[in-house]
Amino acid sequence: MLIDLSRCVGCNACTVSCKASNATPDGVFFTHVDKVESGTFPNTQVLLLPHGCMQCENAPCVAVCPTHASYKRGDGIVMIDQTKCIGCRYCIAACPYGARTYMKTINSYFSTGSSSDIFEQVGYSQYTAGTVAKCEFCATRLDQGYQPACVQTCPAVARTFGDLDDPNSDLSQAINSSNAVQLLPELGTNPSVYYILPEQPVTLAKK
Amino acid sequence: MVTMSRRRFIEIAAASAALAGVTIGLAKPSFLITSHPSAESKPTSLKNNDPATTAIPLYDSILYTSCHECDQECAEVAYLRNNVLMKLDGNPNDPESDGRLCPKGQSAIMDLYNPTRLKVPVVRSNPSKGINVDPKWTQVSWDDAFTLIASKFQNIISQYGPQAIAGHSQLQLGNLQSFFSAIGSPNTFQCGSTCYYSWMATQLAVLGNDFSQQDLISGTTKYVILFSNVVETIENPNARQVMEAQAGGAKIVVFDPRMSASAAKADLWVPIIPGTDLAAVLALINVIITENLYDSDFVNNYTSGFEQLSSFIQQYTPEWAAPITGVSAATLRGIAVEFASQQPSVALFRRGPAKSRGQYWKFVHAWAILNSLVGSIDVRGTVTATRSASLASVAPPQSPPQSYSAAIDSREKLLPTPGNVWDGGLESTGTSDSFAESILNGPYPIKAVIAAGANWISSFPNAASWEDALSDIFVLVLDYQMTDTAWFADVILPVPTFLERDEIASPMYAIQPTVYARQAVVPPLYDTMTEIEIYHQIASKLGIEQYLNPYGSEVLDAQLAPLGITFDQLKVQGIFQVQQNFAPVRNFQTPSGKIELYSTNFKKAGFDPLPSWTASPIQPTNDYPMYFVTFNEATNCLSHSAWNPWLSELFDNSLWINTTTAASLGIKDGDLVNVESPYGKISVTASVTEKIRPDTVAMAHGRGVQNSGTDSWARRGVSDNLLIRTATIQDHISWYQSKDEPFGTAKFLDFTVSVSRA
Repeated sequence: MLIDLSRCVGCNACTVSCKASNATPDGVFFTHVDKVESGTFPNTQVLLLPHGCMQCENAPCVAVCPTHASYKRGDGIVMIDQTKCIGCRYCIAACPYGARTYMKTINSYFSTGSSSDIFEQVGYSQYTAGTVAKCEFCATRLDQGYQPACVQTCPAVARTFGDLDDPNSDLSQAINSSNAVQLLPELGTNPSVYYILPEQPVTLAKK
Repeated sequence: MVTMSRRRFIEIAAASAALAGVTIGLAKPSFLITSHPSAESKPTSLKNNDPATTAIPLYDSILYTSCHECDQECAEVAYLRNNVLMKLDGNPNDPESDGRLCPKGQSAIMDLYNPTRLKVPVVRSNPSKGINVDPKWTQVSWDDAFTLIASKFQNIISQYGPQAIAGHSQLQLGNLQSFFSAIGSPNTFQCGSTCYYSWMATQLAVLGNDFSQQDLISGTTKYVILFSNVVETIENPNARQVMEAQAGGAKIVVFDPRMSASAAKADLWVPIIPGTDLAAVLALINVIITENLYDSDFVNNYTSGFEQLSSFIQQYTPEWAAPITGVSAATLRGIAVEFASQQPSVALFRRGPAKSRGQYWKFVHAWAILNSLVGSIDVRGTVTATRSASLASVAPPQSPPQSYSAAIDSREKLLPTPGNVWDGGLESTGTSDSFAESILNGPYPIKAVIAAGANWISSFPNAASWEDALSDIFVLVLDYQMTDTAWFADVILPVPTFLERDEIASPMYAIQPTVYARQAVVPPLYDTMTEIEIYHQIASKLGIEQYLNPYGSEVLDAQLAPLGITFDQLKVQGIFQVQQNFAPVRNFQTPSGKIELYSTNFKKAGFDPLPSWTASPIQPTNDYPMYFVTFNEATNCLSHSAWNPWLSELFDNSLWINTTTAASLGIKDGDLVNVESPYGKISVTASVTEKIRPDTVAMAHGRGVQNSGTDSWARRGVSDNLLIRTATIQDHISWYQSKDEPFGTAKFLDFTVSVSRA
């Protein structure tokens, strides 16, 4: 995936699209947007940084999983088999990107519980309490011909998705031509998510 | 422009993760290994034939419909599995959404399935009303509810006349007006005086039409000035257009006292003093004219009044504007020169902080002049008028016997529309923000009101006066959540969400006339009734149903007939566009047929024909030294997002306050602070930031539901309405008579505040 940080406007459409598509319970986000400001008025700058799972080629979460619940499938997406996950949370400690969430309990958004609305009933049935969950690049959507939910909806067209293994794919070419970077590359995780860094705004200081 | 260095970016990434409450360790322990026994070999294709992900179809039913989280009404696709709505995405063939929904559109599943929705008709059994008083709702049958309502209305009509019943619909205004025509009351109103009336009416006076819909084209549009916040509010296609135009080489300049998301993405952020946008625009016009940078062909062919404008503008130099706006003369001059020389360029103003303040009509007039000087009126790549499809109207079986126009006089006494300054102006709006006063102390009694999807206590200024006004009259509410206004109802009738209704929708952005299908994607979940059907049932009890607009699938077909399609056909792809070439409007519907830089419409009504500056409408005082700005975000529209937890959890209602100012007041990030205006006081969490002028504080609008009949998601946040008073009717009248305000705009943000630690 390629995320253009000069495009992201921090609207959280991706956050909600992901939540709807994955039916994540209260307190669980597979992607979110960090907003970081720097500088001093009027030369303030804001970094809007959406991130979910980096789907690392050298995924530390996979390496440390004692039950092989976390595994990397053929196309590179790091998956979690919840039937094998014992909730030891070793993977959460291992992930440098904070991509994973431990679901101690599956929580409805409503005091009346998830049985009070059919969407939560249906959607949360895929999750097991006491396990870990994370972004899986909407693997099921992908396999059935849809885009990942975040990519599909981004109203500012900040996200693109494609085949990183094919150097001629649109995605690979876009990454190369834009000098896109990975987060924390020195850790050797080799993420599959690349970022185009934003240019900073020219501000008003000039007289 | 400086490209962020990698090191700096990593620092920020680390900091951001820390802020998110997640640990990023920059030095990781030794269990990070690079070879993984469980890794499989990489395939050549992206798709997996993994039965775990392909055995069951993700979605087994697809329906085309239209969103109604806001008025852009994006065409969308509903994806269902086993008759449960599992996902919404934009319709990829939709020019407005491009297949991409904003967070509100994505959240609509949780409006539909929200268990706190109103499910059955109820009446209050506690006659006493108050925001903290339990109404003691009792369920009633629909028939009993209609009998009660009809009997109340009949008594009121007999005793006080039909004009004693008033109403406001944010669902489908036409339905409400049809009902009111049938009973003979002219008293429907809209939210215009707190929103669109001023900017719509000014354009009608000067330009003859509403040309404010942005139509930026990447690679074509060269320069964009935003007095506006559309990148933050999204409003397809607006945010996408700005970002794509920027990527295609356009320079984006944003005027805003606060660093909104729009300002954060801009090439230039101009943190202007609140309320002074008019002065800035006048200075830009001054430079363009005095330095002879305007498009003389366009001006000569399509505008009138240039000579008068030229003399008028001489005094409004950048040097004059600088101390008023807080923007340096050099910056104003630089922007003006760039704006005029980098063509096509355009200035945009929708959804900006300039609204709801004094002189706003003059700001819009000046905006129209600014764009006209560079020929950017109804030109692709700048701003265009929405092309609307002409649908057939289907008349009631019988014309109402009451004469609507005869009732206008009584309406004029109630809600003075101080005057339309030209023929064919807007109607049915009036100074509705002051309607609470009309109920309490108007020229004749108002004894019943209908709020259909309208929530005055949260959305109109001066919540307290609305609470008073609704306490002693009969209140009928049609809604799908327990709003603070519904808390004052005598009868609440639950309506379906837009995902449960069949109707024809249309986009705000339309270069070609376009209609969308909106269809129920699931059968209505609860015992609800649509708005028009409710009016029919009440009318039936009153013996006047034959005077109402009919409804139903035959009606939808009849409305679509001029386009040569049926509603079923429209549902197949969800979108129908009339194919026509874009022809820019050049015969403007003004008295001269031209863009009236010098407005004869205003002149005739005794108002300033040119947008002169008097003084800033906002003057800080010793007691209230800080400017106060409200804004909207992508997660909110009006007040109806509060109940949706997927939006409510992302919403931050804290008060933006500059770091230096906060320090001087002893305020730290996260502290509870008091904000006091001349009209009210709130306590709210402080968010200390460099993204705002030191003399200004800001908070997001539309949150802080108060009633105890909702869950905690809706009650998050604080209502900014508690600080805001509304204009009185006398205010409106005196502003009109002094020729200060022609359109009854509420000017409700013309005040300043004090901030202190709580």
